[in-house]
Amino acid sequence: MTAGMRVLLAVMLSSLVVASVNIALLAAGRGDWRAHPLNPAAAGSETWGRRHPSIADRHGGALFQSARGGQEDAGGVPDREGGTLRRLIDWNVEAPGNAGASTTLDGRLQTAAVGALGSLSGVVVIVDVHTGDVLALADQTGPGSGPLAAWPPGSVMKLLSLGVMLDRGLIGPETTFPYEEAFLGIPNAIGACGGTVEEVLGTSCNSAVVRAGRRLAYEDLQRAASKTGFGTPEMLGIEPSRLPSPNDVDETTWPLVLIGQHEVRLNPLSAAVLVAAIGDGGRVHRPQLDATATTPTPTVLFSTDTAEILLEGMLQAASQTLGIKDPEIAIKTGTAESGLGYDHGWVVGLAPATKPAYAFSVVLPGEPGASYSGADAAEVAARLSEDFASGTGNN
Amino acid sequence: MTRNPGIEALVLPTWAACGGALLAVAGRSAWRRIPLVRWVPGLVAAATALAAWSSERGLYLVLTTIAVGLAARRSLRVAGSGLQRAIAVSALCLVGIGMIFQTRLAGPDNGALLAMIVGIGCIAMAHRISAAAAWAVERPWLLVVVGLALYAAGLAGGAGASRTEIPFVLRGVVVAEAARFAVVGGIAVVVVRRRWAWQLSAARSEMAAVALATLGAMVLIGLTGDIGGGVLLAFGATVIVAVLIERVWPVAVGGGVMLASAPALLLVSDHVRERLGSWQQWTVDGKPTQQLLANFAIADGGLLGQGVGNGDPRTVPVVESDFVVAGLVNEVGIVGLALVSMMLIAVVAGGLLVASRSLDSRLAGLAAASCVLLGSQAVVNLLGVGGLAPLTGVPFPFLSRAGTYLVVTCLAVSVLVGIPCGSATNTSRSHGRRIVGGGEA
Repeated sequence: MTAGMRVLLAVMLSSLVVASVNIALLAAGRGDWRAHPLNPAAAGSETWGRRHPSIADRHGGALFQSARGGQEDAGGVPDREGGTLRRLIDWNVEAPGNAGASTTLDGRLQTAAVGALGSLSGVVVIVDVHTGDVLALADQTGPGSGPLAAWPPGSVMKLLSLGVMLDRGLIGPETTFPYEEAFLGIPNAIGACGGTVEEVLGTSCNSAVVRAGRRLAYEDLQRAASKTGFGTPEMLGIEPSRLPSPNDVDETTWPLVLIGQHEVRLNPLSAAVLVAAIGDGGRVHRPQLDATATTPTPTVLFSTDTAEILLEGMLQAASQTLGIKDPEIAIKTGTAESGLGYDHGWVVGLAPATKPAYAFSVVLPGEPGASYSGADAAEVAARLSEDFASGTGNN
Repeated sequence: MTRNPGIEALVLPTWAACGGALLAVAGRSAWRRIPLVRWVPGLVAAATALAAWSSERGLYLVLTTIAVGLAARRSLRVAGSGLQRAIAVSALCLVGIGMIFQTRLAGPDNGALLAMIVGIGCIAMAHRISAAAAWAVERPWLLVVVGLALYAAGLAGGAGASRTEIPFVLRGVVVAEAARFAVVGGIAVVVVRRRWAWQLSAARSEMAAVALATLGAMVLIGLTGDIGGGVLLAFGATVIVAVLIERVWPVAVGGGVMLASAPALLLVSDHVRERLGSWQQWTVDGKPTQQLLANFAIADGGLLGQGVGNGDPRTVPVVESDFVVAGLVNEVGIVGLALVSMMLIAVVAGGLLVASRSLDSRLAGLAAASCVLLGSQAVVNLLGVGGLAPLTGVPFPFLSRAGTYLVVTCLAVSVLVGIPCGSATNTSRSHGRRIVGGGEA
C-alpha cells in the first residue's frame, strides 16, 4: 500500500469513527436531550410508561402500565388507535421528565370521555372547574390533524360575546330583545326568537346577539378571549384559538365574529376553560396537566353576576336541546358552517348543573362526507352526563 | 403503541445471521470449520417465514432475506479473496438491515424493493460488473458522453439536484450520482491517459487532471445546486487521479480547492445560505425542527435502544431517508450503531486495501474513489445527523431510503468485490493485464 493510500485510509477511518462516536455520545446522554421540554418522549405519558412501572393519575391509580411488564392494557386508558394515551405525547409540554409521571388526569373520566366519543372522530376535554386541572383529554381526530386543533366554534362563541357585553354593561338582566327572524341579514336557525339574555342563550338566537353586539368593541372581546387562551403561541402542533385580525373585521363580518363564524377558531381546551370560568363565578384558571405544578392564581374573566346569567342560559339550552325539564348538566351547543358543505358540531357544558365541578367541551369536526351539528355533539354530552350522574366522575 | 411482533421476531435472527456470516467470511478455513454457518440462510428464511405469518410487511422482509441470502451465497463464490468476501457480506448485511429498517419506519415500497434486488444482484455478479467497469474505464470519453447524456435526461426530468428523476425509468439519485461520477471520473482518466498524446509533462498532466476534475465537479455543483453530493464527487474524482498517478497531493489540492470555494458558494447560493442558517436551529415558529427531533430520537435510544418496533423514531419527519441513523439508534441504540459502523468500516477500509492490491491501476482508482465516496457520504451524513455540520441532503449508504441510490452504492461495492487483486505482499500493476507473482494470468 502506498503512503497516499495509507493516509486516505487513516483519514476515512478516523472520520467515520469520530462521526459515529459523536452520535453515540448523543445517545449516551450528552446534551441532555432526553429531558428537553420539547422532547415528546420526555413529556409524553406513553414514554413515561416505558420508563416507569406505571403513570399515576391524580388518585394514584395507574393510567398506563408498562408494556414490558406484560400488562399494557391493564388499567390503561385506550385511545382509538389502539395506543394508550398516545396523543398526550404531543400535548403535555410542561411536565418535567421522570418526575412528572404524576398527571392531573382522572383515569375514570378519561375512560368516560373516550367511551362517550365511541367511534366518533372528535375531541373531549374535561377540566376541574375550581383548579383548571385537565381531568380528561380524548383526542380522536386521527393522525391527519394536530393534537387539539382549533375549529370554528359556531354558537359556542355566544357565551363569550354575551358575557363581555354583560360585563361592559351593553346589556343586562333586564334587557329584552325583540322577537325577530333575522337581523342584518343573519337569520335564526329556529325562526323568530328573542327575550331575555337567558332565553337568547337557550334558543341560540343569532339576531339578538348581532343586534346587541353592534356596540361591542373588538378590543373588549379580544381582551376577554385572550384570558381563555386565544392568541397564545402555537407549540408542538397545538393550534391556538384565535379571532380574525382587526383589519379583517368590518361591519359585514363583525356580526359573524360574534356568533363564531368568519375566521374565528376555538380550541376545545380554550372552550373548556371558558365554560369552567362560568362555572366558577367568572374566575378563569390556567389549564394544568402536570400534577406536580403549582396551581396558578386565577384571573377574572366575568363578574359573578354575568357568570350566573350565562349559567342560567346554559341550563335553558340544556332543557331545550336534551328535552329534559331539570337537566343535570348545563350546556351550550354550536353548529359551525365550514363553507365546504359540512358543519362542525360543538357542545360545552358544566356538571353538575346546580353546583358545577366539571367543565367539558366536545367538538366533532366535520369533513367531506361527514357533517355534524350541535345536536350530535350534545348526544356525546348526554353520554358524559350519565357517567357524571353514575358517579364515575366523583372524586 | 402499535407493536409489530412479526418484525421484532425477524430482526433478531437477521442480526444473528449478520454476525455469523461475518465470522464465517473471516477466512475460508473458518467457513468450513463451522458447519452451522451453512445453515444460517435456511434458519433466517425459516425465522422470516414465521415473522411473515404475523406481519403485514412480511412479504417484503421475506423477499429481502431470500434475496440477500442468495446474493451472499453467490458473491462468496465470485469474490476473489477473503477480504473481498468480507466486503460483500458486510455490504449485503447493511442492505438487509437498511431494507428492514426502511420497511419498519416508512412501510413497504415496491421501488425500494426493486432497487435492493437490482443492487444486490450487482454484488452477486461482481465479477461481471468489475469487467464492465474495466471496459468502460478503457473508454473514458464514452463515460463523459454517457454521463452528460444522463445529466441532460435527469435535468429534463424536472427534479434536479440529487433527486433527479427520469419518469418511469429511473428514480431517485442514481442519475445525478452516476452522471457526475461518469463525467468527473471520465475527464480525470482522459487527462491522465492523454498526457502523452498532448505531449504534456507528467507533472503538468497531473495538475491538469486535478484541476479538470475539481472544476468539472464545481461546474456540476453550480448546475444542480447539490452542494453535498457535488463536493463528495469532486473529492472522489481527485482520489481517482491520486491513485492513477500514485501521488497523494491531488487529494489535498482538491480538498483545498473545495474548502476555499465554500465562501464563494455562500455568496452565490441561496440554498447554501439557507442550509447554513438552519444549522443548529432547534425550533421554527415554536415547532421543533427535524434536527431537534432527531436529537431526541437518538438520546432516547441510549445504549441498547428501545427495541425494534418498540421505539417511536417516526416523530422525526422522513426518518427513513437522511435521518435513518437517528431511527436506528432510537431502536437499537449505541450497540446497533456500533455494529453498523463496523460493517461500513469493513466495506470502506477493506475496499481501500483491495484498491491498493489491485492489479489494474485504472480500476484501482475507481475502487478507491468508490470507497471514498461511500465513506465520506457516511461521514457527512453522520455529522449532519449529529449536529456537527449543516445538513447536506446526503443519504447514509445502504440504510437510507433514497430511490435508486442503493443501486449506485451496490455498483460501487461490486467493483470492490470483483476487482482482480493480488496478495498484500506480491502485487504489481499493469494497465489492463493481470500480473500475479510475476506471472501473467
